[in-house]
Parts: sequence; structure tokens; C-alpha cells
Amino acid sequence: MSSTSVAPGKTTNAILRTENLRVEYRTRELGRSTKVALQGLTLSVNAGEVFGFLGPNGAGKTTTMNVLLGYVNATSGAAYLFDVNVREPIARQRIGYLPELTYYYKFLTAEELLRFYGRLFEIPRGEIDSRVDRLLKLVELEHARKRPIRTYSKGMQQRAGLAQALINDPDLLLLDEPTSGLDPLGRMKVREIIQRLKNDGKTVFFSSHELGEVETVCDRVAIMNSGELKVTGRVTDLVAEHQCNLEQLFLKIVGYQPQPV
Amino acid sequence: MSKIFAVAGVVFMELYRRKDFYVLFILTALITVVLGAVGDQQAVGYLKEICLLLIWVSSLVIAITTAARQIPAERESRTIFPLLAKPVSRAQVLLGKFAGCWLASGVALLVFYIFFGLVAASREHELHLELYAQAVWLHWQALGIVTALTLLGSLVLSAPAPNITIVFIISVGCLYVSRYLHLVAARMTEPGQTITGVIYYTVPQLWFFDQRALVIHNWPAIAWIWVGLATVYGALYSGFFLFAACLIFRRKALN
Amino acid sequence: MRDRLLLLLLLAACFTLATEIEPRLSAYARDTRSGGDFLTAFLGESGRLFANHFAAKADAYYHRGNYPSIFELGARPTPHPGEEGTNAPAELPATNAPSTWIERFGSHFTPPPPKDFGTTNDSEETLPWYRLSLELDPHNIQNYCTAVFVLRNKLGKSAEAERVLRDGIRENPNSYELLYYLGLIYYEDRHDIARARNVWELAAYRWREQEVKKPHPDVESLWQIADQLGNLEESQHNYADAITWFQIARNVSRTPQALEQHIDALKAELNAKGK
Repeated sequence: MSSTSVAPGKTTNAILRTENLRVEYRTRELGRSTKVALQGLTLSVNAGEVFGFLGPNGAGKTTTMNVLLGYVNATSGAAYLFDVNVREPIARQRIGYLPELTYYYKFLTAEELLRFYGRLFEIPRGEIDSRVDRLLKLVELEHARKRPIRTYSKGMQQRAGLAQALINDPDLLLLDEPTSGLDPLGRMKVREIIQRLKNDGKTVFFSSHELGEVETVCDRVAIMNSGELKVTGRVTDLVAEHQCNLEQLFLKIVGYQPQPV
Repeated sequence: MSKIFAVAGVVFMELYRRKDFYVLFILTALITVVLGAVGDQQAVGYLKEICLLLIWVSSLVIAITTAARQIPAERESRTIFPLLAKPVSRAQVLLGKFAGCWLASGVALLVFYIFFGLVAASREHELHLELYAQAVWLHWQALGIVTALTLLGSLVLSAPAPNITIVFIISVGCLYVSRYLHLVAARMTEPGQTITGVIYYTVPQLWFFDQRALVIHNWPAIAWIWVGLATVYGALYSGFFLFAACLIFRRKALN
Repeated sequence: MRDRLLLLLLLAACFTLATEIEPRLSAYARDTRSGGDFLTAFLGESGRLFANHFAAKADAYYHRGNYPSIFELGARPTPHPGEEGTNAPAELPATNAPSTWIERFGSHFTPPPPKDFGTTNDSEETLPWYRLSLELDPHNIQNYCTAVFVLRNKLGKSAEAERVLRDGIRENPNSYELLYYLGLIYYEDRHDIARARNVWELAAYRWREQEVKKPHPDVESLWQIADQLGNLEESQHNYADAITWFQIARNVSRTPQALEQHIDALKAELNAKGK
């Protein structure tokens, strides 16, 4: 299947766009040869907004992230970042990715890790030096910059992760459960950083289970269930339309029936 | 290219922060020194042979074990995800891993051969620099082929252990047995004769690069044109294995 | 449950195999080797394989590294023996021309076999390998003989050659070859006639004990022993004994006519002396 690097025709304000994205996995279950993880997902995220990507476990959020990051190829449909097909490595030049769990080279120090990733973005050496200093200060890891990451606590590793997500001064930040496992103080800090990024005109796309947080920071949300996009729109508009808060809307969409007490 | 070298740099750092290289070097040095102290003081070849054998074994261990764990370790520790979230292709990652392993093996090789040169020169009271240079260069080319083969194996086999075992067996076979397969084939009946013949012509003939005898017996230096052609031969095999590895890696699931 | 049954079955099979193999292995391993050192204990019977390998290594060093592999030797005619009457490392037959492009390419990395192999330096380099080989397989007579040849004929180290021979005789008390070489050292190097005579006569006795009954006895060795004894007695003017030994040598010699002439000459001497 050939795919054009740049979306044919128009350039839109949507810096993240999927068109009828379908992802199927081969499965070993009896009676089924493939499992459909995403069914015809069409989604767009505009520049400068904070976009929440919600759904229960198995809804297709991680699969969507994996397609956007180029880990997985879509079975059909296409996805674009900055109008560049995600299959091209260059599509990731202007994004930053913060995974849910900290997966970094344990034998490297935070400073070495940032320098390494900076080189992958082909940032000039002098620029890397100043960014590394600034980011380590931002995430409060200056005191531990020369220590290997395996000596860091979980919180420190997550802060190192945030620093590496920002090394290229990304225009789009992809966050996978950014507040998972953090204490309330940690969550507050993440919220502040997201707000700061938004004020700087960056776009943030994050998946989360923390509906309260999503309702606070997000401009728009999309709710997935069983591989399908169920609803998308501005938080205030959805709440007004369905006459309930985001949590109740979420539960209604996923088909949750409360048990009588 | 800078991305490839960036990945190579991380591989390099990993090797020199692990203990493997230092343990192997100390072991080689210790065995050589002990043998040199207790053995026949007149015979130098014996000492050179033992030392070079240890160097070959150690270098193969370093090259194969380092390369075998690159991709599986990235997948197991999940560091492959933030890596591929950067604007770097899987081919670049693989080439970077190859470059890192090969360069690291080369540096280890230099250290081993410098030690060897000192030991040999202390007995022979002369240093055959040209011979050593040829031996080191060709040895390094052999490690390139082995590294590329191991990386390919790491993408075909899920665990490092079987990959390491198989590549070791193939490497030893290509060093000691492959050059005689046509003689073996001549004495076989079909279809064994054809199969053995095909294997003879397709496996990398690593014995071209094994110039221990050159150094031990102080043979005349090889004409540099042949060293160059052997380098091209090695590069072709390494390139082929890497190309196959890139094709497989492109389609491989990351978890 | 199935795994346990399989395990039990495997255990039973292993036990059966062990009871089958053990008596044969005990009979095979029953030898007189003293072998109490670490290497011998560690390697066991596989020590012989290594011993042969190290002996081949020594030969390779004698030829300055240019040495055919077992595959190439298998594909060539049998090598010629070394200098007659000695145990010099064998001369290698001429190499075949490369038959494939791989061989042709590889030939540029190996120099042609040297014509002047076996120099003092080459001989020195063989010693550690012979030492290892003899350590691992002290019952390989040929290796003792070759090592002694190198030590004595090439390096002039007669005392060390004698020591090696004594070690060999300790391990192989019935070896007439080793006794013969010891006799040579006593006769040619020490000029100890009495001892040389005793040792060679013992060698001849051992030869008779072992070889006479064989369908193809080792007549070459008998010729060497008898010829040397004949020369010894002749040098001591014991012509009668010399004639006896030369007659034995003549009976097994490849060139009996030359010996016959020599015997006749000795008989004439004896007759002249008698008169």
C-alpha cells in the first residue's frame, strides 16, 4: 500500500489528523483470525489546543498512539502529523513523547540521555548544552544530572522522561497517562507544565483515565470504546449537550450500568 | 549519519560500563603472563599462539554477546519506544547498533593487540608492525561480519542465548571448517555433495581474516591489494546481513 | 502427570544405558597410565585427541606454520617418511593447485611452504608442543622419538633428550624404540660403550618378545638395533659378536648385499686375527 508523505491537496490547521484509521492484529484465539483494535478512526487536533483522549482499557487509545508514533502500521487509512504521514520518521521531528512508564537507558545519566536524544533531533551541540541545562533545572534534576538513571527514584525517572520529551522544544506533545502513579503534588506539577505549554502555543495530546484532570485542563476530548470513536468535542459543549459531567458522560458511552446498592 | 553515530555512541558507552571487556582482558593477560613466566623461555611462537587464541575467543565473545543483546534488550526494557518516537528510522537504529558494536569491538581489539605486541616484543626483541596492522585490520573485518550476522540472528530468534550459540557455532565453522567443505563435498554422494557445495560457496570464509599464523611465524606481509579485496569481501557480507536485518526489523512488532 | 511419567521413563532409559556402557568403558579405560596430574585427570581419554593435535601443532611449527589440515591430508597421497633411520618430522607432499576461486583467493594470504624449514628456531618452537603432547599421552612412542630427534639432532640438547627418553621408558618400559634411542645417546654422545651395549641388547630382547609373533613385525627397528650393535662390537674389535649382529641385520635389511660384503670383510678380519 503506497502512502503519500504529505496529505494530498490542502494544508489544514489540524496538526494531528487521522483518516479512517483501521488497525487489525492477528490473534491466536479460536474462531477468530484477526482482532480489530481500531475501526475507522477519524480524528483531528488543532494547533494550540489541549486534547484529551479517553476510553476504558482496550478502547484503542494505545493503538492510536502507537500508530501516531510509527510503532505500528495501520491496516488501512492514514495518520498525519504536521501534514506528514506518520510512516515517515521526519513526521516525529516536531513532537515530544512521554510514555506512561519510564523506559530509558539505565546506564546513562540524565544529562547523557538528553544529549543523546538531542543528537537524534540533529540539534546543534551548543544548543543542546543550553537546553539540557534549562530542562534539568525545569524538572529539578540538576543535582542528579551525573548519576545513572538506575539510581533514580520513580518520580525522578518520570521527570527525566518529561525532560526528554521537551528536548526538541516540540510543537506537539504526546503524553500517555502523564499523571499515572504520581502523588498529588506530582500531578499538580504536570498540570502546571501542561498549562504552561498551552500558554506557549504548544499542542498537547494526552490519554488519561483521570477524568477530573481532563475536565480541568482539556479544550477538547475524544472518547473511545471498543476501537470506535464515540464522541468528540469541546468539554463544555459536551457537558451542556448531555446534561451531565464528563464522568457521567464517559460511563454512559462505555455502557456502564450502576448496580443498585 | 549523525543519528547512526548517536546510537552507536550509546552502544559504545554501554559496553565500557559493563564488566565483560575488563574481565576478558584481565583473563587473557593473566593467562598469557603466567604461561610466559613458567613456560619455555626460548619458544615465542607457543606464547603468541596461546595469546592470539585467547584474543580471538575474547573478541568473538565481546562482539557476539554485545550484538546479540542489543535489540532484544531494547525491546525487553522497552527503551525502543522512546527511541523510535524520535525522528529516526528503524534502519538507522539498526545501523547505529551495528556501528556501535563494531567500533567497540575494534577498540577492545586494539587494546588486546597492544598487550600482545608488548608481550611478543619482549621475547622477540623486535616488532613487526606491518604484520600486526594487517592482522588487526583483518580481524576487525571478521568481527564486522560476525556482528552483522548476530544482529540478524537477534531479529530472527527471540532470545539472545540461542542466537549467541548459533552464531558461535557458525563463526567457528567458518573459521576452521568452511575452507575445506569442497574437499568434503568431493567425497560425498548426492544430494549431500550439492548441499555441502552450496554451503561452501555461500558462507563467509572467515579464515581469510584469521592471520594468526602470519604473526606467529613472522611470514612475509600480505600484499595490501589482497587485504583491500578481503575488506571488500567482508563489507559485502556485512552489508548483506544488515540489509536482511533491516528488512526483518521493518516489519517486526516492537513488543 | 504426563511430565512425571516422561521423566521416569527417561531415568529408566538412562539407567539401562549406563549399565550397558559401564562394563565396556571400564575395560577400555583399564590402562597402565600413571596420569595423576591435573590435565590428565581433567581430560581423561580425550587427552589423546589433544595429544595428537599438539603433536601435529609441533610438526606445523617445524614447517614454520605451513601445514596441511586433516582434510587436505586426506585428499593427498600418503606423506613420505623423513630421513631414513631417523624419526624426523615427515616431509610434506606437494600441495595441490587451488581448485576453486575461494582457494585461489585464500592462497594470497599464505606464503608458499618454506624450503629451509627445520632450522634451530623452528625446532625450538616445537618443544612446548611436544611437551604438552607427551604430558597428555605418555604412551605415544612416535612423539617421544620425534621430540628426541628434534632435541638431539637439531638442537644438540643431548641431556634433555635423555631425560625425555627416561620419562618415556618409565611410562613404556617395553618400548624397544625408546631403548634404541637411549642407546644412541650413550654410544654417540656419552661414549659409554658398556651402557649402550646393555641398553641395545635389552631393546633387541624386547623386540623379540613383542614382534616375533606378529604377522608383520617391525623389521626396520630390528635392523637399526642390530646394525648399531654390530657397529659397536666392531668398534671394540669383538668381530665374532659384530658378525652375529650384522647377520641379524642382514636378514631384515633392505640392502642385504651391502651388509653381506661387510660381514665377509669382518670374517676375513676375524680369520686374520685368529692366525
